[in-house]
Order: sequence, then C-alpha cells, then structure tokens
Amino acid sequence: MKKIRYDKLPVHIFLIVSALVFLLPVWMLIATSTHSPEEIIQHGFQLGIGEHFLSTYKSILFEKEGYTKSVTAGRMLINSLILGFGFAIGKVIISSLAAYAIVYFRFRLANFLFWIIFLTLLLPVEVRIVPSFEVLSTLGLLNSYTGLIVPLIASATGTFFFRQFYKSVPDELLEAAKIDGAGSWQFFIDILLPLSKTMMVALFIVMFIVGWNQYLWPVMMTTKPEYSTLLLGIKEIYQSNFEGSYLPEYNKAAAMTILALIVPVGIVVIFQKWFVKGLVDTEK
Amino acid sequence: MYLNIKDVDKSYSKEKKIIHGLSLEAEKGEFLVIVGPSGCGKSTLLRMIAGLEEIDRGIIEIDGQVVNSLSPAQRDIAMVFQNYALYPHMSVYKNLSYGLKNRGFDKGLIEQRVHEVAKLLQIEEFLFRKPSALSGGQRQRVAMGRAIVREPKVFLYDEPLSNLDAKLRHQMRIEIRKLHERLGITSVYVTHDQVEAMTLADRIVVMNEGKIEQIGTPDEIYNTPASVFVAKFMGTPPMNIFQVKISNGKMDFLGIEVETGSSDDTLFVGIRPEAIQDEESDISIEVAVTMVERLGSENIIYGECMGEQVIIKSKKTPSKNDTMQFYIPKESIFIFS
Amino acid sequence: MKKVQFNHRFLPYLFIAPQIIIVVIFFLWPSAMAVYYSFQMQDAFGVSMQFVGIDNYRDIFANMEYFHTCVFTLLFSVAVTLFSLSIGLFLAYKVNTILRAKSVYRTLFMWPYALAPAIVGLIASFLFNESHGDLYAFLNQLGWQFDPKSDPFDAQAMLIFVASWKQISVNFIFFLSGLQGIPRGVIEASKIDCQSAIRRFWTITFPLLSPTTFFLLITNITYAFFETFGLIDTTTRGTPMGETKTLAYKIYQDGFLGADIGGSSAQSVILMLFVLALTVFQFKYLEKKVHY
Repeated sequence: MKKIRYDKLPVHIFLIVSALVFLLPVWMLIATSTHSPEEIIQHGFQLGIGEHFLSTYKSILFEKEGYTKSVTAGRMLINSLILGFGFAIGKVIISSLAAYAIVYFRFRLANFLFWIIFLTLLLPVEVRIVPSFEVLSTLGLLNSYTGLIVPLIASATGTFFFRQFYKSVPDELLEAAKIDGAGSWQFFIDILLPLSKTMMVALFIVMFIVGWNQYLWPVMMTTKPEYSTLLLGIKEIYQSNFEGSYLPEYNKAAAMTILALIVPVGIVVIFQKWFVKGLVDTEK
Repeated sequence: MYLNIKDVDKSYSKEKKIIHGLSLEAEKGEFLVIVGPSGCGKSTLLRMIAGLEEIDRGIIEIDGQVVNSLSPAQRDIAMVFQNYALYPHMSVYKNLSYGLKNRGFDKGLIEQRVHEVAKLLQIEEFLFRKPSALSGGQRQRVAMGRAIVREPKVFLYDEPLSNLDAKLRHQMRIEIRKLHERLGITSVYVTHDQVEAMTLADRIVVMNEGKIEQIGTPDEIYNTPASVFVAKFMGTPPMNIFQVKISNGKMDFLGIEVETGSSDDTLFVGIRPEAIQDEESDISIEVAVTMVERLGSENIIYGECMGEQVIIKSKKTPSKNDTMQFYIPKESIFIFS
Repeated sequence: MKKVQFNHRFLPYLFIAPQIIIVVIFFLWPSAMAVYYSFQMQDAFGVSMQFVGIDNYRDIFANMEYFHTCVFTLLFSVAVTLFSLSIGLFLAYKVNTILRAKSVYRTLFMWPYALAPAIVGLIASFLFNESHGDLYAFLNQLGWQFDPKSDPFDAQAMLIFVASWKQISVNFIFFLSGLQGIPRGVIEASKIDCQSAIRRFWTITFPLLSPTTFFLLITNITYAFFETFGLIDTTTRGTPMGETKTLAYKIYQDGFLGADIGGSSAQSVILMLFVLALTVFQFKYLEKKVHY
C-alpha cells in the first residue's frame, strides 16, 4: 500500500475544481439534451439526466432539420467525417512526400520551393477568404468535396512536421541503405515510411481534428445543405433558436453540439499519447 | 594493389581542404587501420572509399576497377557504422538480408547465408528480434553481420567500437581480428584509439590534418616514429618530448653530446615513458615527483626534471615531493628535426 | 540538410509537385488577387473594377472604425494570451508536482483542445443566454448589470473569458510536456541549491521553459487574431456597436457581407504584413537562440 500524502490534498482539490470549470458546461449540454424543450423553457438548462435521451438523438440524426429542413444530422456527421478524414489523409500523404524531396534530394529549386511552401504560414484562410471564394467559383469547385478539402491542405504545417522528423533520422541509415543497394523509392518505402509510422498516426490525429473543426471555410464554400458539416448545421439551429420565432428546441441544439464535439474529444482522449506527440513535435 | 587510392583531394569549402593529395594502397586481405585525432580527415577518407563522399580529384581503385563514378551499392563494399545504423523497424534477420534482397539474391541462398553468418557471430537466437531489444554488444555483432553476409571485396569500419564499454571493446577487438584471420577480407578500419590500431592492424596509417604522417606495421610505428606527431600520438602515456638547442652541429642534452647532421637551431628529442628505468644506464636524471597514478601492475609517475615535465612508467611507488634517480639508455632516445 | 542525399533529375520534383500545385492554385493565386483588388474599387453595381491607387489604404486609415477594431484586436490578443498562458502554466506546474493520477489530470485539462472555437462559442451562447443562461443569471445576481447584447464592455469581457477558456488546454499541453522535458538532474540540483519552491520556479524552471513560452506566445497571438473567428461568429458577431470585431472578422464582414472587395482586400494585405513581421521576429529570436 502506498502511503497517502495528505500534504498534497489541497493541490488535488484545486485541480479537481479547475477541471470542473471545463467539464461543467459540456455536462450541462449533455444533461440538457436529454430533456424535452418544454421542460427546458420552464426550468432552464439542466444538470440532471432527463428521460428524452433516445428521442432527441433519434430525431436529430434521422429527421431533416435546419432552415431548409432538407438534411439530417446524420448526413452532416458523414460530411464532417469526410472532411476530417480527407483532410488528414491528404495532408499526411502530400506533406510526407514534399518533405522527403526537400530533405533527401539535392535539386536546384529546393530552396525556392521550400520558401513557397513556407509562405503559406503567412496568410491564414480567414484573411484571404474573399479571393479564395472567387478562385473556387472560377474553378467550379463550390459545393464539392474537392473544394472543401484540397485548398485546406495548402498550409505548410505538415511539411514542416515531416521535415523536422526526417532531419532527426540518423544520416547513417541512408548511408547503410545506399550501401545495401536501396534506391530513392526503396529507401522511402522500406526504411523511411515504416520509421515514420508513429509520426504519421500522430499527425493524422491532429489533422483530423483540425479538419473536423473547420468552420469558416465550409461556411463559405458550401451553399447546398447536402454538403453541410455538423458545425454549419448547428449554427443554423442556433440561429433559429435564439432569433427565430418558433418554440426554441434547446434540447436539439444541445444534442447537435454534443454530436459535433464528441468525436474530436473522444479521439483526443483515446489517442492521447499520439495526439500530444503530434501536437508538440509539429512545433519544434 | 587491391585497394588503390591515388592523389586524392577533398574540400567542403574553398578555404578548407579536408584531404590533400593523399595516396594509399592495401594488399588483398590486408587489415589497414587509419588512426588520427578527430578532424584529421580519416572518416572522410573512409566515406570516400565507400562512395558516400565524392572526391574532387584523384582515383580510387578496388580490385583493378576505378570506382570513382560508382554508387556505394555498386562498389561491392560493406560498412560498419559507429552508431551501427541498424534499421530499427526490421528484425535482425531482415537487417542482415536487406542488402542481399536488393541485389536480387535467391531466397534460399539468402537464408543460408544469413544463418551461416548468424552462427559465426553467435546471434542465431536473436534473429527475429528488433535491434531495440538487443544489448550494445549484440547490436555491434548484427552490424558486423550485415557487412559479412554480403561477402564484399572491402570491409570499411568507421570507429565501430567507440560506443561500447571498455570491457566489451576489448572483447570485440579480439573477435574482429579473429574474424579477419578467418575471412581474409581486405579491411580499412578507422579509429582514434591507438590501442585498437596497434592490436588490429597489419599496417597502421597515421593521419593528421588531411595528410598521411606515416604508414607502417605497428612495430615500425612504435619503434621508429617518423615525426613528433606520430611519436606523441602512438603510445600511452605519450612520449616525453623536449625541445633542444643545437650549437656547432651538436646538441647538448642531459649531459651527453649527440652528433647531428642537421644545422637547425632546435631539435626535438623524444623519450618514451617506459624507456626511463631504474637500472643504471647511459644517462642519469633526477626527477622531482609531483604526482603518482597507481595502475596496479605499475605506476605512472609525473615529475619535473631540469625545468621540464616528464612522465615515467615504473614499478616504483614514490610519494609526492620525493626526488628520485632514473636512467635512460642511449638507444631509446628519438631525435626529430 | 543531410550529408548524403539522392541525386535525381526529376523524382524530387515529382514528390514535391502535389503540394506546390495546391499552394499555387489555392494560396498564391488568391493572395495575389487580394493584393490586386486592394488597389481597385468596384462600382456601385458591382460590375466593373477601376484602379484607384492607394485610395483603399487611405480610406482604411482615415476611418475611426478601423482604428477601433485595431485597438480591440490588440487588447483582446494581449488579454487572451496573458490569461491562457499564465493559467495554462500554473495548471501544468501543479499537475507536474503531484505524483498520483498525473495522467488523469492531463486528460482532464487537455480535452478542450478538441473543441472548435465555433463550438465553444455556441456553448457560451447557452451559458450567457439572457433568458436561460446560468452564467448570465449568476453575474447579474452578483450585482453586475451584465448585458453583452448592449454593453460593449460586457461583450468584450465575455469574449476574452470564453476565448481564454478554450485556449488554456493548448498552453497546458505544451507547458506540461516542456516541464517533463526538463532533465531530472537539473531539478534535483536546484532542490539542493535553493530552499524556496517559488524562487526555484522563477530562477530555474521558468527560464528553462523559455523556448516553449516563446512558441506559445506566437501561437496564442495567432489564435486570438485568426482562429477566434468562429467564436465571434457564433456569439457577438461584432455587436454591440461593432466593438467586438477583430481585424480578421472585419475583413470577412466588409468583404462578404459589405461587398467592399477593395477595402477588405487592402485590410488583408495589411494583416499579411503584420504576420510577416511576426514571422521575421520569430526567426530573429530563434536565431539568437534565446533558448538558454
């Protein structure tokens, strides 16, 4: 038996109270989503679990909601998954290849191209949203998954992440592989790829969350409800709740919010170790 | 010659040459050790033989074929790296077979060779472990195995023992020499450790600042060093070196006169710590002891003699501040101009 | 770079091509358009464009509203950075001092990272809702006539609070990993040399964390400038009286809702220059190796 150290008790109490500051608001949403709209209007937001858990979630997942009443939260969930997965997969593949070229090849334009990629850090999507919208509409990519996902991959973060990792791989490994007769493809496939498996998973997780949490880009680039992600869907529901003239369906709004945050939060908690690695190593 | 390096130059920038006009030869089956202080260019030389560094000028020949423009894989060499450079995600078996696989060897042959080498190096039981599950000595063996399994024309070793502890280093040193005698593959071995050089080499190449100071058998290097640098570098503790003034073509050192043909103003005189003895001999010196290091079998005595620092290897155990009498035989005095 | 590299005529271009193509089409092209538009003015019907030189820039700097937005953005960034950085560090330090349940606490403080700023905004709109919001009611019970819909100060305070709440987790994660990266020997040596834990923290631990702190400083500023977009868009949307707009939000409002392409583009270019300056500063700092 370990001896319990009472001198640390105040620290524990402090930490637990602090943790509640973060947990309570989300718990309130979970609890509220299990009550009926009438109950909420009468008694305010709830902290205890009610009896309408199943009915609320069933109705948002399978009944068409929002202003247009033309899309279910189930559809939005699928769109969010497509955006998250598409973005993360694209990012991992494209940036690992680009970083491989930059670190492991001697070629004339290497420096110039590296700086071009670096430039993308200068102008976040929020700032160039108007011309980006025009480019997408010129290319006919509005309301398409390509238009939703591909432009977001432009940023340099992933490339930097792999560049940093490749630089940390001992030089002797490439030398040994060269002596063992491996060419550039073979070295990438046989040595580098298996070595970066952990890093790839880590970056994938971080990027999935970044993709899932995109807000402004989908707002601009999708006007048709069938491309709407969860974050957009919720925004509409809130607008009709807080500004509309109908009976506010706070339970549904809360349930949608839970739906939109449960996936990324779950991933962060479950894949904690990888996630922290991916996050912390990107920034070295 | 089997391995032939002719008049080779290498520089990374205009100002600094790493290797200047270096030439070196090795016979088939010879074990060549290149030794020198860090930054002397010895690793660069090895990497140039491997084809990992390009050369600016000169020719490198292996088995009668100029290999200047060949890639490392085409040169038919194998290399053991300082940090082993094992592929961390592959099992020992895969590490050993990767080079053979890339060369299109038949699966059965690969298996046979890997097992032979594993047996030779006593790593059979680890064949399906990853490098991270091995001890330092075992990793070292795998690195050796990866080179041996290829049966290359030349073995290149880049300070392969420097990551091991003293005891294991000693043990592996003996094994490397034994393996060499058994396999007889031409080897070039780079180290900064002069004990490794003395014990492993057929011939030693002493390098300094991108040039060769001396090439010779271990005995030649030890008994007839060609320069002050070689004399000081080979042997522990290092040789005592004294700067001596010349007058009328003769020098006056420790009371005896030595004829020198040189007309230089100053000469360097070297005496090995182990050449200074207790038994009466030609020259007698008085040493004021400043410190004694006890090694068990013998002691290293640090002292002062006529204003100069001297190091002496001796069985005697004086105390600090004692004054002692020692003797030097004439024939064990080295003179360098 | 690597001592030894591959030499190949076109393979490296093949590997880097996908990223370069995406960057050129979806980054360089729109960015160049932003610069171009910043010197153009659209006519009243939105049909034709006309070159107007630096008029757009002059208009921006002559406008008091832009000045207000700048002041709020700076104030907001400084406050959010200060709060989230210090609270994140304090929590990480406390978690690092205890032995039991460390990983449980780590989970408890890091999960909010996964929340999108827009989601955090929506949660806030629940809590600060004037008819049912618990925090709204609580603040008013305290005697603060809290009304973010009409009082700019209240709205700004709410935004700062919510934005910091969300950002604490990131700072916590980086600080905790920074703290765990400090060699045990250094910590033990400092315990022998210095009795006071607070002094130890400021003289040993905090200086050793300086690379992390510097990195987080930049991250937090970027967050406050750009990522809080979703948060603002789901809470105040710049109201009341345009006093809760950040520069990025104003670019969006003017360009998209106000259809002032020229003015909005000029604002983009100004912000671009600001980020450039921040990046140069970051590199200078890293070059000097202010590590330790």
